[in-house]
Amino acid sequence: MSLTTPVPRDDDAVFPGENWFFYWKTSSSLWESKLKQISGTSRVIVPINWSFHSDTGEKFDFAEQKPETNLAKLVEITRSLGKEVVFFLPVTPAPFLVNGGLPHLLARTNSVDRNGLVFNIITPEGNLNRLFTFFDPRVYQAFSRFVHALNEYFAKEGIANDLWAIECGYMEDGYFRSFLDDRSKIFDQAFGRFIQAKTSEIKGTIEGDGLIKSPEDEAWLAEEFVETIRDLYVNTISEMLSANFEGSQQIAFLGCSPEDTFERMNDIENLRKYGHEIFHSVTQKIIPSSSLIPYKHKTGVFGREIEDMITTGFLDMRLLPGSAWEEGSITFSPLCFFELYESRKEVRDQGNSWRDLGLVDYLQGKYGFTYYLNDVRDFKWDEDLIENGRVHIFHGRDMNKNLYNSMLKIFMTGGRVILDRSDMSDEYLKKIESFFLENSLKVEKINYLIHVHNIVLGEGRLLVIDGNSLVEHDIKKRLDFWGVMMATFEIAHLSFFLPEGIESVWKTRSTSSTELNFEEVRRVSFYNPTSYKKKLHIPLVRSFALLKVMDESNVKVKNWSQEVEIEMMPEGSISLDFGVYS
Amino acid sequence: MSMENKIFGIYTDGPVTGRVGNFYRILYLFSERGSVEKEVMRRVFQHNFKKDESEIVFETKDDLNKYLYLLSQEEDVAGVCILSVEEYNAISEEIFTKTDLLKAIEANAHCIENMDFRPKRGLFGKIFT
Repeated sequence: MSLTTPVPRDDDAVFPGENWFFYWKTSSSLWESKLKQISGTSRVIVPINWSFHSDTGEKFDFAEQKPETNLAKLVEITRSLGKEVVFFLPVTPAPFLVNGGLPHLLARTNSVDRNGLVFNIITPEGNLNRLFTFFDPRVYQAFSRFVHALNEYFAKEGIANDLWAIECGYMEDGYFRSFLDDRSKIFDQAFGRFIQAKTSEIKGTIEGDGLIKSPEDEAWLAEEFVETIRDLYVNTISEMLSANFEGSQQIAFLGCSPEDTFERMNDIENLRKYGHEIFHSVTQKIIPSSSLIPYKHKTGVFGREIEDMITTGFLDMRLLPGSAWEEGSITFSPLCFFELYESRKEVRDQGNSWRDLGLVDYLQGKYGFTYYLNDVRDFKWDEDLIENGRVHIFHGRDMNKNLYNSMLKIFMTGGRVILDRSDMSDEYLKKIESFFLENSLKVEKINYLIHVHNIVLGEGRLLVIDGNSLVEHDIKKRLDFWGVMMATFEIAHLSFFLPEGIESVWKTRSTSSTELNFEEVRRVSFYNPTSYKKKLHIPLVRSFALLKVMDESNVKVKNWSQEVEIEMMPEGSISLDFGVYS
Repeated sequence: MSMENKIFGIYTDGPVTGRVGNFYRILYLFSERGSVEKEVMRRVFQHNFKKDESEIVFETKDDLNKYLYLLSQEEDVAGVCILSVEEYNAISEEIFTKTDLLKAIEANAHCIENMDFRPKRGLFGKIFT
């Protein structure tokens, strides 16, 4: 055996990352000894492998033939070790499973991407997982039968653990791309039936024959159809497994895009790109997964990014239901100042997304990844929207009654809002004008690059901009614009110039009883995934006290009276804690 | 045909949003060093075809081949070998490992050779020529 040839360890296959456990990849007699190895978490993520429990899609095995299908035993062992299993059940092709997780008799039509290319997903062992379409009615019927059988098994065994429906996909150009979004022959046929049904539904009301008038119309309808089918699968779980169902999550698998496949075929793992995808996923509240990346690549700075960005804090935030996750906890959670909302459809079709307006670039450069880019369709009113002190940023074109009322409620109860009024319907433009008049609000008109309206009500701020005018300016001017606007919100933050290629992430926690001089503790971590030495200077400003420097790896730190100087070697990383006071 | 000193790629032909007719479009270009940089692809296109257009599409297969030939010169490789989406999907059918997929791409791709390419010689090559 050559010492230079890495040998895949059995444990890497069983624990592919971020506390996921692939129970079908090891003997059930070894579960206990393996699960003992997991430390630092109370949660073990167990994706349910449909095809492992059913070869044909007709009959099911839950501990009857293969001992490794005994999920009750797995739950029991995990609990005896002081941990809880959280189940994931894919509602899309799953890239980490053979045939995307479909029982082999159902794996008939390849799932293909928008360019017609089949998905060849490379596993850490170098095998190919091909994905098959979920649009085949036979697949849905078999899935329903499986979920029904799973529910009966859970009820019989008294398994009450949380279960999440997961939509698997990958990041492409900063956005999530679902594996459900396929364009196979079967998809085309099902989409045809969808169009037919929609056409007959609207016939007699409006011009039914002209449902698709342009390629854009077709793209919109295709997207609507994909969402409808995703909801169908998710609703099947929520109805049949209601006692366990917690909701749905999007999972972005690193190394799964078609481009990644061609690079990985040549043994190239683009760790810088994956690292960046982790940051983009987290800001969109999508769970990244490194389960398809070989373990040997997760030991350096990329491994630390996974640990800091996913495993610590973020998974808790996503998987603990509702109020069980408190941001005021003593453990670190992601720091967020800005909540951006937009519709994914609009982003692709209209162009002037927050990214196009320069806001995303500005926030990344000035504030790091301290923002969330939310799907506006998931927006729900919550008291926390006001209490968390964040700036809420909306597109006028997304306005509906709920969003409009919530936006004004945030503003009137002392919250901070930015509204891009471009493409807002006449109805809401009139409504907002009436709102200002009826409440005798003074509208301060500012002309900086574009017309901006600033409205103040007590602590509340409403800044109204015109994105369509802003997007006509070059990127430098757009960034300057946001610099001026955001400065007016007086957000207490340490800003510094981040050298090209260096990634940084901020987290926050409440203070303990020994830290009462501070209002909160913020941690900033820096990573150097490049092959070059980089230097950065962090100014020490009033209201930020450096508490400690930790997790130094391949870095040199000099602490001067006015600044901290950090020299980062390739693969270097470091974290700094600051006490924040007013 | 070895992967060494060559670029491999996948192309498609069909309608393009906002244009009338069918066009050839390159989806992915990669070598053993990774994906070919988008900036290089755009530069070769704008310099030799349409200066003002950022989207790299071709009206004929000949234009696509000409572009790939120019790209092979720009990147100083022995050639560019391509497969259509349909060809790629077909060869993928019975393949189960990445090594075999790579071999199948190498074996089935249509190559445009760069006649000007001279392999870089190592130290011994320089001494003994």
